[in-house]
Amino acid sequence: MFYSGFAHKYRHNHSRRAYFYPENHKLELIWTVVPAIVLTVLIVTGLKQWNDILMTEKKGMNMQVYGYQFAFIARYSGEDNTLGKSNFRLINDENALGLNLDDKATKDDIITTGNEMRLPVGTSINFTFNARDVLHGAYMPHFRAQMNMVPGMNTHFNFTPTITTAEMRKKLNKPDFDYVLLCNKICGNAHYTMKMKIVVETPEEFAAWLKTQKKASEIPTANAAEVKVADAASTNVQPTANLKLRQIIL
Amino acid sequence: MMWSVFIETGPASGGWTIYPPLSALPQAMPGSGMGMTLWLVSMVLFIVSALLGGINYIATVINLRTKGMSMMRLPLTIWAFLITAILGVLSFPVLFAAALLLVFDRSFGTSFYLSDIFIGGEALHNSGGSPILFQHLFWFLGHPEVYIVLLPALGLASEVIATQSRKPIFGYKAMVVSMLVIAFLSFIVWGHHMFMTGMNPFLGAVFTFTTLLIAIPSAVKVFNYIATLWKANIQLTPAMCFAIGLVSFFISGGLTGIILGDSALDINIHDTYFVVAHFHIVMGASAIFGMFAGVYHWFPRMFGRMMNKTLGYIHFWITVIAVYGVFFPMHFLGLAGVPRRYYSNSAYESFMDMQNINELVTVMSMIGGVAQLIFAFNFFYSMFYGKKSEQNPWGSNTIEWTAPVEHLHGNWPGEIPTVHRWAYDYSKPGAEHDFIPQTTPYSQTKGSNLPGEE
Repeated sequence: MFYSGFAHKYRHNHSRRAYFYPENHKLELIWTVVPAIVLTVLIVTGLKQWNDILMTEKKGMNMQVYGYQFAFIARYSGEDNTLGKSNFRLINDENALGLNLDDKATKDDIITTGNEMRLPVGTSINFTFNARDVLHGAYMPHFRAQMNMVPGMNTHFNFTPTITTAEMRKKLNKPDFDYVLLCNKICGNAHYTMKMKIVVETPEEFAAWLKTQKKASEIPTANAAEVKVADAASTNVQPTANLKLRQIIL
Repeated sequence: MMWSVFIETGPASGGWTIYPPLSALPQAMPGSGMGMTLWLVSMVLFIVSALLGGINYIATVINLRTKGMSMMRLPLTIWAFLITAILGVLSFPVLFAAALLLVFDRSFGTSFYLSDIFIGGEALHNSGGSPILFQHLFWFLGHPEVYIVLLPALGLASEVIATQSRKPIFGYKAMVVSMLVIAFLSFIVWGHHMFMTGMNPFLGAVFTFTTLLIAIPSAVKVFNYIATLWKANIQLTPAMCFAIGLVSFFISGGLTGIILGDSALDINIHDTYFVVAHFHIVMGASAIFGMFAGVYHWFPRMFGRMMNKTLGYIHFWITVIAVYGVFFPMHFLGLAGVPRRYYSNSAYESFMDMQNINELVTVMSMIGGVAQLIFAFNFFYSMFYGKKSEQNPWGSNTIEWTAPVEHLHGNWPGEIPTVHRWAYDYSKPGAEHDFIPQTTPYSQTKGSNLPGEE
């Protein structure tokens, strides 16, 4: 405002000389200190939020979202609320996530079959993200949630959905509204088509839907030799001390 | 790199950030084959030339200043070039290392950036690497690079604004110090490009802190520009218009930079059109406007002729409206969650509402593009048929305007002029004219000397 005003007000005039005013330490000090104070406030409030969203461990339903060219798969942790081990060397047509079925915690895990992920409303959800081939980004714009998916490393995010899809449709007056999960890290030629529908529903509806999805125990077990190789290298999907250390280094 | 457009698998196509594994595995996309190799080779050549050029700038500024040209008498343009060159020399080698390790991963089976990958129906042998490592190395160059692009533009604008305001640049020392502080901070903020990449959230907090600190020296620069305009006697030449436009973009882009630099807000807008809008305004348009200001201002020096003023004004107004027309609406797209680097947004029903914004952006970008033809015409036409330039058309203080209009080997016949004062004695009270060139000794300007200037 001042800026464009000055540009106009002090236009050239031959009869006039500009005001010789090379510096004023007091003025300069003021416009160094004032932004510094404003930014301190911004930094403190911003980091409080950041701390709450990403650095505080929260209890909740553990689940995994897995990305590959060019789709997502969601895995729920089942009754024990623990995601079983997996290894990329075990991946085959039936076992898209490379689940290690020798791990007890894997047996009750549930994998989505359609291109759809459902979440129970009002439940804190601990997402673990991973990718099979290249970097992907799990972006859920309606939930203001985002985290990249990195091959060889687990990443995490937590949020609690508060409005069901049905309620949101009514609110927006758009009967075909859907929440989406989309890929937000360029991952290849069909990057822009990589998406998954998210349905938020009541816990009862969610439980009923979960029963219709594929159980990990239905996956044919890989041959013994393969499992042995994989066992040595199987990665824990749950956050562990070791993983945290690695995150700190990187 | 141009050559790679003509090969069968096409040019490198994983985005300019070439994040592995996408850029490391030809199985991931065709562009990661030969195209990526050519990209890396040309990048290596580019880094080498940038380093040699940078060292040349540094050596010249430090060793080859003319008699009397102390560091605190340097025009701000030269300070900006010097600091830019130092940034380049310190940061480009890191990109070189990143590119070299990527070459190893691609061609020699190493696992610097690769681990646990299943692609093309098979599990790869790579294990133990991390794609995040590449991002750290890349952005260690990538962030200083932003200032490598922007600082020279700010330097050019400082000179143009002071000259055309007929007023000394406000707070010369503060301008130099804030550039040095910006340069220093630019080395410790690279992580703000990586808040959402899986980097430890603790580091995200650290980088938020350092990033927002940059706003302080930037604010000082902006306030100093505004103070320079205050009570000035402004000649709105096309160069001045572009310089003012630059500062306007620097303010708009700087404010959105504070939003993006805050890690908590970045969760939602990382990799969306908000980012595209922010950096195109603050480093794209700003830098280009700085260069335009430079071309319009120094054209008489380069070719001995003046550029056409009217065409310059038309070029300026269309361009500034087009730039805001393209990038201002993009902020809203980003806030609505539209991701960048999508081939088509119409694959998403939730983004269909934004169709009209996209149309506006497209139209504006075409208008802006066409306006550049005016500049191209003006540039080449004036080079041959422009009005002959006077010795010092803008009444500027810096010594390049004392060189004869005709081009000579070595620029000046005989000795390079000696400098007796700083570059910003404009409208000094008691002086004969409203400018006193740097080559004028204090002994000839008794009437205007301040205490301490003998």
